[in-house]
Amino acid sequence: MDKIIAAEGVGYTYQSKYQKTTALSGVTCDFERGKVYAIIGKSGSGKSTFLSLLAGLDVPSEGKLMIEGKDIRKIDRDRYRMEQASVIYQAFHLFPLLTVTENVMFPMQLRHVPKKEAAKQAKEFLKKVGLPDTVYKKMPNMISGGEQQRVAIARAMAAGGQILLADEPTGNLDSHNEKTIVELLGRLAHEENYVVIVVTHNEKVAEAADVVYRMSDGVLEVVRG
Amino acid sequence: MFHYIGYSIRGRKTANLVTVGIGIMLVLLLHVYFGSIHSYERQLAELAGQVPVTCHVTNANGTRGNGLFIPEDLVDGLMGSERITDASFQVCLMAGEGEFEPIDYPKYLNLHVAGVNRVEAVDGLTEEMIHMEAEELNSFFASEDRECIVSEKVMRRQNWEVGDTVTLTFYYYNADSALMKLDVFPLGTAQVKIAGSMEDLLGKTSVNAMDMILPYEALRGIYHQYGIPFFTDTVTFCVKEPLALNAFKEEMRSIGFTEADPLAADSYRGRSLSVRDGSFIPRATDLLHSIEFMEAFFPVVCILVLLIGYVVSFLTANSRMEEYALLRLLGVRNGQAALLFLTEQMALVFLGNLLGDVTVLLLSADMKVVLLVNGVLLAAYLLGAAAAYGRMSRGNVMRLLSAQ
Repeated sequence: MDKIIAAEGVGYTYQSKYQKTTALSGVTCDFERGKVYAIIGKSGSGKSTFLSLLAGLDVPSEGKLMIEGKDIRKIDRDRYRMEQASVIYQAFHLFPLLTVTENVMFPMQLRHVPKKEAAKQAKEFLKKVGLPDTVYKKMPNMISGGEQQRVAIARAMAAGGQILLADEPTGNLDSHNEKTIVELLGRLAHEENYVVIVVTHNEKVAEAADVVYRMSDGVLEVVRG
Repeated sequence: MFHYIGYSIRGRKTANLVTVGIGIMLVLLLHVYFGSIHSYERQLAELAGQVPVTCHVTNANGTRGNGLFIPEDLVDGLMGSERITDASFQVCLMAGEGEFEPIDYPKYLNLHVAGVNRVEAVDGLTEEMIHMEAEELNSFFASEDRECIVSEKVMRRQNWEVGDTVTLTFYYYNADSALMKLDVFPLGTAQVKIAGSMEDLLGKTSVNAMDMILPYEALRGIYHQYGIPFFTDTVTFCVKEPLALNAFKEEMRSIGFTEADPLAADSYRGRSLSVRDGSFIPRATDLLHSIEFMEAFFPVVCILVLLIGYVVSFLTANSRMEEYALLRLLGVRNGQAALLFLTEQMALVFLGNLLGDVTVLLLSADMKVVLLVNGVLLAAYLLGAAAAYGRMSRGNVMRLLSAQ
């Protein structure tokens, strides 16, 4: 078993000035390389909160979240995001002032990969996600939504890690592009050995996943897998 | 990571031009402010030259400014003071050619002699009126040598030539014990070389006849040679640093000068000091008040620049929250992400600052003011911008990106 993430009784509580809100409670699950996981659930059920914990943007209020056997509280979470885990969103979130290639180069440049090498690798990643070289020099606002999401996936691949977290990745796409992205995520898991965790409302995306969890009022349960 | 600044500066042209423009505007405004203060300070510094504070040694009631008996210790005190400048000392006495007995002095005593330390010590006399090489003239007044400059009229009358050495018998003025009544008394005889000649003063100025001038120290030496107490007739000078008048007056008191008292008895004793600061003080006070008034606004100016820095950065930060969240998502540390935006903002303001500096330097601004403006602007703006970007770095990345 190639377990990369393990959650043991993970809970998360928002503490505002006036009230305490429990977003997650006793979440226990494992995530393995080479599989696509879908987490479905209603809005406000705690899916995105769980994703932000998996991305190291916050830490659990209770329980343990282990990344390759290390407690996420004890690791350098900025470094974790830079080298191991990437997140893609419904709204793509590309740097608007950088070209397609420069967007993909950016995570590599953060890791001090020389510019020439980064450009070469960026083109390879863009090729892998199926983008034609006619878009490489375009600005993000000049390409379609499906293309932008593929650029975001290429950028995630360029980060060098093998954990890909996706928050409603097909939410802004038409059915054709949706299918393309779902296939791409599946390919990353099955061919490139990524662990892909997708938070979605979309049943088609969930159907394509190897394992499906349902999040309900902060509690996670296995639907299929 | 900082390579992103280059992309950002190229990509956000309008917003960046506005920031540079704000930098230029701030430089110009700060130049108006600091330039005004500097201008007042310069006027104040130049005031000492334009409205000098002159001083006269007077008698006790301040009614006499020359023909006095000013003791040697006061003169020595003044000569050693660092707080005075352009000091003129003059001692007057009578002389006659050759050696003669006191009983014959009405017959021979026909030369009005002055011992002075500089040309300006003789009212109405200028360097142009003295026929002597300029270098010699300067060394003449500082010399202790027994040399003299003689009026052309006396040269003709006495049949003297420049270069002659003449024997002179000097008589000094002295008063009775109450220093009320003047008379002349024999001082002694000395050989004096004629070093130059001068145009006649009588009729050209309001002063009395001046037949012969000796260096002040040379004449003092003759008094000392004959053991006669030395007194100076007239002493005038200027205060070197009129802005430190109180310290000057304190030093004058420590030297031994008193303030003139109109009710004091009249005499020839010169121990009081008349300080003519009536013109200087009101003008200096006005300028000082203007400077203090302007300087009182310094904290306000700093806070204003800081607030402008904060507001501009805050607005910029608000429009770039997505970029910030993206950088964080890609693993850029919180402080580094804020520093990236802060660096970019400060680079633009610095550019505006430089352009503003060039503009004001073309308008012949003072370099000191330019440096002051740059220092205040960059420091205050940096604080404001740092506060705004510090606030930005408290944003929740997940919420920022999920909300899009």
